[in-house]
Amino acid sequence: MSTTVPKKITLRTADNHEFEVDEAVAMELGTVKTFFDENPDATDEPIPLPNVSSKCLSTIIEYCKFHLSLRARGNDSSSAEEEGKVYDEELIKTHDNESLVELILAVNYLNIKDMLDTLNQGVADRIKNKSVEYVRRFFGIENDYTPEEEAEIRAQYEWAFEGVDPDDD
Amino acid sequence: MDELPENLVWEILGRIRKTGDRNSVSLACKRLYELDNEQRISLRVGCGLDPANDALASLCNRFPNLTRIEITYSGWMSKLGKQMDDQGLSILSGYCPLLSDLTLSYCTFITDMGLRYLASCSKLSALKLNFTPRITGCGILSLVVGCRSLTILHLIRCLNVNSVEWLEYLGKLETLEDLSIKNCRAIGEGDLIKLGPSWRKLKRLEFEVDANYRYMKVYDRLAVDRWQRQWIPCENMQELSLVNCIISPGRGLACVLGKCRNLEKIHLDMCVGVRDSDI
Repeated sequence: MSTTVPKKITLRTADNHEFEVDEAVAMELGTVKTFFDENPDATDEPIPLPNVSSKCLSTIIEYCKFHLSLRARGNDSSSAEEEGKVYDEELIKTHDNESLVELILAVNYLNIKDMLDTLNQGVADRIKNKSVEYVRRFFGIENDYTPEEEAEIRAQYEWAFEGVDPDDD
Repeated sequence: MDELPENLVWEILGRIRKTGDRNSVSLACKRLYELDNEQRISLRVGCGLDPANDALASLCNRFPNLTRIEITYSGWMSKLGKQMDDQGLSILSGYCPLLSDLTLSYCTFITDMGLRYLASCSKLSALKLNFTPRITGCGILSLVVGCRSLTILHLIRCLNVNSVEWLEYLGKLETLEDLSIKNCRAIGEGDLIKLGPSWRKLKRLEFEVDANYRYMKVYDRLAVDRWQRQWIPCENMQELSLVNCIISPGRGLACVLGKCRNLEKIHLDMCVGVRDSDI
């Protein structure tokens, strides 16, 4: 094997698309890395990713490539950090609630910690300063309180937090 | 949400800090309510608690993992119902095993008895009392004897904290890192010597004398002279703030100033008697 040509790894998504990526990018995916760590003699067969759609995977690969290149730049860390933040914000912005959740599930399955943190924070930010109804719609959940139960909890919030300054942040 | 596994919902919810947001989330459904109960680590309540002790008990019961509690009765009037009293502090110590950071502001009904209940909070590391006029030095002493992990103690306008045995006790423990004594009329500059070996550990000291009372104090001259003989290194001191202090040249607090080699921030306001050579 030549050392100048980086080794390629092929990933196959749930909808049967194949992605050929550099080994370094593939190793960003914790699940893939673990597979190779445990099977050092694995053949060049494509790796099946049954829980990931091609749409999600291409977003994920872009993300990993971008953050790898930022890390490679190393020492001018403050501008790299800033660029990383801008990229992450843009990533969140371009996804609606539903596709964000889909992406989270894929990233969770592939075990990419930094990206998962970013996405989780994105979801948390979306339900800040929102009504109960918004939270229900966001997660697609049914209200399983009886009206009496709900009234009781609402009453508790009224007496408990009345007359107290809002949180600092 | 059914598609999101429990650990991810937990992760996302954990990033929501503001009380109002957490309240909304917990009202969405019972599953989120239970998650919120587990995750809620800080509570800030005040005048709305009525009847105070029962309300506090039901909150502490609902949120078993509270580590930070702030109870503030600023703006309280008697028509808002009785304030929390010593019984409330007994509830905190009984229901909140993880309590580490407690702030009590304008809790005018709590007494030394209540602080004795708090003494059993073994995890308590930060206590801030702001205008709790019934608390005396005895109460603080029983608390510092019980709470051995206390590293932050702030006393603001605790007008009746007179004796300073507690300060001497803390001095010997060598655990305190952040001490703030502001406008506690009965504690004078000279009392700080009681900190003894703890000067070495202290990272932050804030001492403010009530400007209207500073000239009325009788100084324990002997104590002030002892400062010169006592070698007090303050190598951990990063932040020192002295307001309205009377500093005898070359004595008392003046000896401390020269020994803070790693000081990052100093604030001297209306301090009489500091010489350039002391700094």
